[in-house]
Amino acid sequence: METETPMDVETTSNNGNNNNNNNNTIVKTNSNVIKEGDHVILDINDGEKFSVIKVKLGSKVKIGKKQILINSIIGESYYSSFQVSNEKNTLERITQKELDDRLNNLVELNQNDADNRNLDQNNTAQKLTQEDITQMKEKGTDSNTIIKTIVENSESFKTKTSFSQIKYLKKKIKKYSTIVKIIKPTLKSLTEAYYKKDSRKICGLRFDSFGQLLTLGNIRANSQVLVVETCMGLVTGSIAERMNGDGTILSAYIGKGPSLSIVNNFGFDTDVLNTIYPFNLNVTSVLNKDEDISKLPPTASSGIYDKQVKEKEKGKQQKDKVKEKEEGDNNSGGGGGGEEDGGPKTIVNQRNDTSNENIVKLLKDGVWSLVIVTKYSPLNILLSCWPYLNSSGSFVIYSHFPQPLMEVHQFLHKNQMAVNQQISEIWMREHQVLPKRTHPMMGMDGASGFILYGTKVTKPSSIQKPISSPTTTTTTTTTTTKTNNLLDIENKVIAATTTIVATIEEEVENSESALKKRRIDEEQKKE
Amino acid sequence: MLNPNKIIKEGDRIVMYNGKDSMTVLTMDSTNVYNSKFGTYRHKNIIGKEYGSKLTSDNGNGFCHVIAMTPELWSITLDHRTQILFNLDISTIIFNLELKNGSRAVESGTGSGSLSSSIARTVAPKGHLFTFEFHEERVKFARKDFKDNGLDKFITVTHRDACGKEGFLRDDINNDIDAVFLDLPSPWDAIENAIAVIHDGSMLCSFSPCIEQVQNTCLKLASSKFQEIKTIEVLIRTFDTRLQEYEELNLSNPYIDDNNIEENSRGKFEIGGIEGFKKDKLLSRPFTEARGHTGYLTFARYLPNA
Repeated sequence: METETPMDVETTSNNGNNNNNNNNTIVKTNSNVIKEGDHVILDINDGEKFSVIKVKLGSKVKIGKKQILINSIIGESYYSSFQVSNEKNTLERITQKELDDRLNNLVELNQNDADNRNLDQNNTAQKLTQEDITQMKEKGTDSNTIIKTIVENSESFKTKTSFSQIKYLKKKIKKYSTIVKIIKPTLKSLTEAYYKKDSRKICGLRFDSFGQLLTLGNIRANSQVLVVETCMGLVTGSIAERMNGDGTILSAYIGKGPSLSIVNNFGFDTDVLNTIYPFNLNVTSVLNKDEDISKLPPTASSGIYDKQVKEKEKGKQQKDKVKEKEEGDNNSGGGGGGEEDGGPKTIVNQRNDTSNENIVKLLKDGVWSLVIVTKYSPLNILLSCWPYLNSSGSFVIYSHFPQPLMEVHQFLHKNQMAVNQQISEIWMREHQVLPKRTHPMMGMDGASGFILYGTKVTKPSSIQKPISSPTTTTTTTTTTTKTNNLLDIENKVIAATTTIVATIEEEVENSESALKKRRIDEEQKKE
Repeated sequence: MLNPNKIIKEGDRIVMYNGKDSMTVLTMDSTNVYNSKFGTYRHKNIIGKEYGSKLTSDNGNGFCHVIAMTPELWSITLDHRTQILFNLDISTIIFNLELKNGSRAVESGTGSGSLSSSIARTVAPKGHLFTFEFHEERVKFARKDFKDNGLDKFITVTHRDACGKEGFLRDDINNDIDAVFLDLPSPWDAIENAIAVIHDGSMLCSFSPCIEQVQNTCLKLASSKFQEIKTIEVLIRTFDTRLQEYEELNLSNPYIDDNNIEENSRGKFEIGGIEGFKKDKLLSRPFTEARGHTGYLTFARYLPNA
């Protein structure tokens, strides 16, 4: 079946809902075109590195060792590829077909059967020296010629099978030319980019675990979600993307102010940003103690931040232009750098009521989902948020380690606070699929992290069971509660478990510092 | 399914929960009675209770938790008319297809409707799912299930062969589909049909249990202007977590002086002259029964101009 697709027509998904049934004209928008002011992800050499930047006319990005002007991407479609021009330090549009042709036409490939019976292991196959190659590069020789010369001077290339010849060429192409693909920031692409860049910053949240988190958390539009995260806003932003303007996201931060810089990189409209309510996690804690909420410092309001930014813009537009340019340069350090490190930590362009009074009101209305992804021990966080999770609501916790989740599981089970609980881990493997060469990838990511999910339940007041038993072997503290007022139980339980939590936290910290130490040792060895 | 109230009403679909292997879906009808080995419950006694409550049976002997329906609980409790997709595959598919409130998606086949319900939850209320199934009986059942679960506004079931001449073309689809999911014996035969309804940048996913299917699909995708072609498999390992009795032997050794293993012990025992202590320990291990394979997931992005 031959199908013609109108290539020049871009459609926007959000406008086309079921009301659109009799409307046969396609809405023409340019949502798929890269515009100035867009946040984009630069995928450098097919996943080798990622960089998140804001597109500005005249701004430069550090790719490899060079500062590259990115003007040429404006007006092109998302997911387009560009080649870094070594002479002009600019990006030049290159199509997938051109890339494929280059690989296939660069040199003549071996058509006969070959094997490695005559392969020398002594590294003498290449006649060119490193200096020869460096000289060629300095002269500004284009990458095709360099690769051709290298291949011509390789003794072993001719004896390789065509499969391994292609593999060899792909490697060389990556080394001597740089291809940049412009990716639209979405939940999926940002997760991939940040995971690759520095997974610790997003608590090691891998895409498959993240998918599970959102599904098991029953994230949906028109719902109320309470999220506690230390992932720079990735989790909050992702939930906002899924809900797309319908619903409420209470995003608790731990620390002086919100740390939600990644939210800005999604490029959300104001109506989506307005569904997010950042607040200090301490609010739940104070609320649980029945203390006066007005004593707390106000939530760092993003509205105020926005005003300040506007004033700045008015006053020093000229200066800003220079500054922006510098920012563009600085923020992209190392090719893997991005705007988020230097960028604002609060959400820009947000206009909703994030006063503590409103947060308390929203919390008391109840939420249907509780999502926790932090570097801290989850039990105390969960219990502090528990009173605000509606009965029958879903909770889901992600952790690097199974032990903290086991504690939570046991606690909730013992106190009959939840049903349908499960701790799980994911085993994920990617496959190379090529004719006659299909197999699982050699390298694999073996740590998905662990997820605990469950459903909150309430106990009828008629059932009274004393709650007593040591929750862990490390402490002798027991929780004995005679009252059947649930909130009261919860508060006492929080106090009783503080010791347990402290022990776990210590363990986590110890193992983290041990890991860090080992990593540093390894790096030193490499050098 | 999508917007439960806090209080159970007449007509609600609820889940009677008595453990992971013992869940029953009920539609609240005040004239009806639910009988199980966990007791007898008159619906009129359930109506008015809070979701998440623990109910005592009418004779006071049994008890049961009543919780709100979710697509996950639905996929456990539904009639398996076909092999269904599991939770982890579903969440991986939805994540990688970049679905959200507002997305327009196509699915084939509908099967038992397990994935459909999850997709509908994600794309509702601004988006829509068009699902295609060539088995007439399954179409009827799916339509009924979606209506009963309150998802019929967001799902359109079409009785059609995805590999046939019409493919996914409908009057209400205009090259505006953001994501296509194929779970078919020969997905490559449906790819041209998928191209007819998607746009630049749309995602496609194909689920196949066999690697030969994957190979064919990938070849077809690569020659049809798809990029970012990626095949993965995901398997879940679930853990049995419990506070369990665990016995420790008191043996002396030359390394630890003050081996105070009596701490936290619940009881003492003796075995062959060796003193031992019983303790409660929080332990976790993977469940013995696990799934070794579900299917390969192949993802690709349609980029005709890139």
